[in-house]
Amino acid sequence: MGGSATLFLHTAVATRPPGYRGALPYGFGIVELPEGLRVVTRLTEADPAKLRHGQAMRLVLEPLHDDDGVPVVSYAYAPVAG
Amino acid sequence: MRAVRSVYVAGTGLHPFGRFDDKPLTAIGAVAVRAALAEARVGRGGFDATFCGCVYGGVASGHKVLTALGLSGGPIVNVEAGCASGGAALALGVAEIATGRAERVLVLGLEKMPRGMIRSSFFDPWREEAGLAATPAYFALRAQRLMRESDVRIEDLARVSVTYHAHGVHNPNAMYRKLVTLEQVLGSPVVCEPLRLLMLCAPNEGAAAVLLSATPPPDGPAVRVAAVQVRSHLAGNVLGEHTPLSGLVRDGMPTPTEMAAAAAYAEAGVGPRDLDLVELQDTDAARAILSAEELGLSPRGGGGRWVRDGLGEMTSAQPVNPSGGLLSKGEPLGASALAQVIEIVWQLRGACGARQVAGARVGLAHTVGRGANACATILVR
Repeated sequence: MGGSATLFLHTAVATRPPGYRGALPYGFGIVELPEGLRVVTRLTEADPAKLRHGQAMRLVLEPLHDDDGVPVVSYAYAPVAG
Repeated sequence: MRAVRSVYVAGTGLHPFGRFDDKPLTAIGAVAVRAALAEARVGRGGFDATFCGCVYGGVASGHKVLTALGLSGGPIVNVEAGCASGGAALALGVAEIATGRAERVLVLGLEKMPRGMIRSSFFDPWREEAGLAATPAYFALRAQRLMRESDVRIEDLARVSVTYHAHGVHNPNAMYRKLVTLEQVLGSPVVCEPLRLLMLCAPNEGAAAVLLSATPPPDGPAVRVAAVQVRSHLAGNVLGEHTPLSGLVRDGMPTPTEMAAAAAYAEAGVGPRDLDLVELQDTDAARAILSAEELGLSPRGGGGRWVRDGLGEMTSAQPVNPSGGLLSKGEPLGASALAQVIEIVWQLRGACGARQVAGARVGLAHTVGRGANACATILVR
């Protein structure tokens, strides 16, 4: 699968969910892949007002926290600039 | 399955929903069971099997309750089906009697939920670490989609909360027995856009029990379980209660609630128009509207209009959640489905006082939750 997607749904999480040690708030949503899948994902944009349905997104790696000096990262989707 | 024998509700018992820090889970469950057995005039050994809905109680929750009340040797089976656990336990109990394997069956549900955002073993550890175990965020996305694809507005979500809180004022077993205004709901803190705090139900504690019997009670109105159906999801719906990581871009697949409701209507030989009242899953206000659409109380896509026309309110022809719903009762997972069933039984008996739906003869109880299992139960007087 390629790294491109479109934004299907989006919100933000401001209260720490169980087991999560990363920064707050963070973006949360669902993107649609051209291959015909919808995927639940972190979003690099934490302000829902700055995102809109159908906009182009790309796959990135986002740092979550450090585990004894080892960085832990997650997949995430970021708005395509412009 | 076709019922070969009728199944009646002979006894009902509730432990109020709320927070009871000094009371162990077993004690909460025992209150509900004791009341159900007393109402049915059944003592120790007076039932053939027990099914117990519980999610967070750990090993042998039902056994511990019955140990406290006196054991009889019959099978005790603990059932987990997310928010539908009590409904799934009821379905198993009804089948025992309908098929002639038992004369009387005890069905109970109990729960002591953790506080705060609920930790669920459903989510793998990596998904927790990535922040993807944020349950209210999934509800928020579903609400956003409902609002984008139909004319449901934020004020409609608030009105659902206002309505159910108004109903709950008259329910002594509810946790939040106070009126809220549209402004208060809209002005409450945003949990996950677009959902505000007062649009979400609170996890809490409580228990409910029913004693099922093959014979109608000797006095008073007889309430019969006309249908009880559990269904789980099909692949593809990324916003189902099962909160999968991915799904197919394919819409129009029937949801667990639609499948359970269709089966229940067929089993009972009634349709949505025949229902005098409904108790439906309202984990959040958007879920309530979606539930009403999925159960056929409103046309698909017509949920916003359904709210704005006041349908589902106590003054309407088909009141929804006269108990106050989960929004005012709170949600103890294992107990919530059976508490809905008990509300319907009490309504059909005409025993609900200030929140009585006049002349109620047919009611439906609905839960849907993680798994994702949905349960639809139809009770008839």
